[in-house]
Amino acid sequence: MNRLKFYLSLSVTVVMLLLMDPRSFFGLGFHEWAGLIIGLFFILHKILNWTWIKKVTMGFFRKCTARTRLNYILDYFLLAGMILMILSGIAIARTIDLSWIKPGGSPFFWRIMHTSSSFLTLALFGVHLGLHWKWVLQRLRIKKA
Amino acid sequence: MARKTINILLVTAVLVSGTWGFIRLGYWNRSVRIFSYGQTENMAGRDGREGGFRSGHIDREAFRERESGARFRDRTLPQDSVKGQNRGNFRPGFPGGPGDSRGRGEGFRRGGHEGGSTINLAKVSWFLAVFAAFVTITIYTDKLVKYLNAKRAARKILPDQQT
Repeated sequence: MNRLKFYLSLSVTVVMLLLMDPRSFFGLGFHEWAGLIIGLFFILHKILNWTWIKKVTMGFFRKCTARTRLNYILDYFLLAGMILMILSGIAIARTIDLSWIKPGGSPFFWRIMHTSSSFLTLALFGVHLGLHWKWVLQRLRIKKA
Repeated sequence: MARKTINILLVTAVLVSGTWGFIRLGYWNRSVRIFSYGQTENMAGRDGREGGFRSGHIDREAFRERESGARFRDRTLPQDSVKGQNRGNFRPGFPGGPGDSRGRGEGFRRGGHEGGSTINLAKVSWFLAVFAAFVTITIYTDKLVKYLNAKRAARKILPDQQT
């Protein structure tokens, strides 16, 4: 299970970095499709950690340590950023026809939203990885559990 | 000792390249741009167009209508008009000539920056640098917080032991 989580997180990180510039890696088509797939990966990541989410949600104010609370709040913002990123991506999509779920509003607004949310989410992603660095080292067998 | 030195050098390199990338990409401005969206919108409205970017989708539709109207007028130009005569004089590959994608809805605005099957990871590497800097800062901040907590806990234990 931990190995699956590790490879899933690694692929999300690599793809997220490749998606930061739509022109850098196989163009806009790849950017849009991979953006949707990364969303699915993110949901899978949440499903795999569902026990932790449930546990912390139940005892957020009573049992949790400050670090767990920080991780939970950070994850909450990451989820919000991811949703905004995908939603704004759908709104300005050019190669995929998603007109049936196109949200209203001006494309200019959604473009700014897409850029801002992706930049902020990448920063939060970095903080998330930093807080789980020990776990990463354990998976890479650099540090013993 | 050697390991520690390598570690310090590596962390310094990551932080320096991350800061450079942060500045180069205009990371801060692009991150917080959404919070100043209202101001940008108002500025856009100053050029006399109603609503500025607020009615962006309406503007785009109006633009398309104007564009198609202009193209229709171009097609129906009389042969003896100056514009009509010039249309035939453009050479392929030159602006306005056959093969020029401008005005036909191609190019950047129509997804022309798809890039095909090109890979240019120069910009991605700057994002990687910024990302690595965020990770590094978090790791060391976390370590610092843990160290301070441990110190505080030790200070609490010490008076207890004395009593």
